[in-house]
Amino acid sequence: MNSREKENIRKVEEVFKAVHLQGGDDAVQPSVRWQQSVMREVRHIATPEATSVRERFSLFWPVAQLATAAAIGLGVALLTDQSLTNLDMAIYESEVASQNHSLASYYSF
Amino acid sequence: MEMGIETMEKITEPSDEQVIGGILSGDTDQFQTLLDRYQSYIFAIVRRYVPAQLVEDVAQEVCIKLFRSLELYQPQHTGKAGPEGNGTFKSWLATIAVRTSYDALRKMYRSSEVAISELTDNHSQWLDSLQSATSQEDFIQHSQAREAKEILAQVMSKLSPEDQMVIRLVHFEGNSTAQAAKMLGWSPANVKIRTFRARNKLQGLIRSLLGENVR
Repeated sequence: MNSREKENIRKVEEVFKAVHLQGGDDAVQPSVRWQQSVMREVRHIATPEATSVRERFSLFWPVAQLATAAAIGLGVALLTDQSLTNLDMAIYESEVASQNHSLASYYSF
Repeated sequence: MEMGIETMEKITEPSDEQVIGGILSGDTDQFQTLLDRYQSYIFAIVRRYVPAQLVEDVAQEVCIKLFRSLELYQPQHTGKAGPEGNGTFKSWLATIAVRTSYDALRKMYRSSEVAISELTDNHSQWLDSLQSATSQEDFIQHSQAREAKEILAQVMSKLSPEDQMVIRLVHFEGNSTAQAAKMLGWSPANVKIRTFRARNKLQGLIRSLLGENVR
């Protein structure tokens, strides 16, 4: 690279620097519409967050209580179901036994 | 008498810290005061780094990030370090604006929205004219031309977002390596190496631009 090339590159670099420091396109400025849009977004962020934090806190115990109640209910239902099955089996066995008895009495006849 | 009224107004006007305190205690509408004070400043920073069509969106993102992180802000005079290790609200806001602009550049780069156009006749004429420019007035005239902005945008679009940021922050704006590192959240060594390499790339691009113009 000769000195003339270096000088030309330096000139372009200097112009680029000046253009950058001018700050881009001045036509783009904050408008009332833009400001309203920002405030709308900010309010939107502020409201649900505040609610959700409160809700998360206030919903914890009711949800925990509901889950416990459901677990107890499910446990009772399972136990009851098991008891009913046992009862059914007892009835069935007694019926079979009685049938056997009647057959035995028949054959002994 | 007028001076007295002005002084009174200055006294009654809440400080940034007071406004921030109000917002944090739930008065979201006070964010409007911060917007009124700093919106032009935010736009001035963002305009330097992102294309004109993205400025409004990026500036809005800066404001949202600012709002979300207000509780992290610690003013310098309390003796505590701020979230970015610096104290004044303005410099903290500048850091948010620079980082958000950098994020926008990265998104733009990934989605390949960068338009790479060739030199037009106007650009070629501008480059020819610049090379023969000698006086300070010529230089100012050239830097204010539309072609200058267009060629700069074209050259920058050929650099990675990281290179663009260090070129603009260090080479163009004259920030120190440490300052740029703080603003970008990089290590000073990284900024130093990147600036050196990015400047070489920039000079290479300018050389090929000038070569292209000769052909």
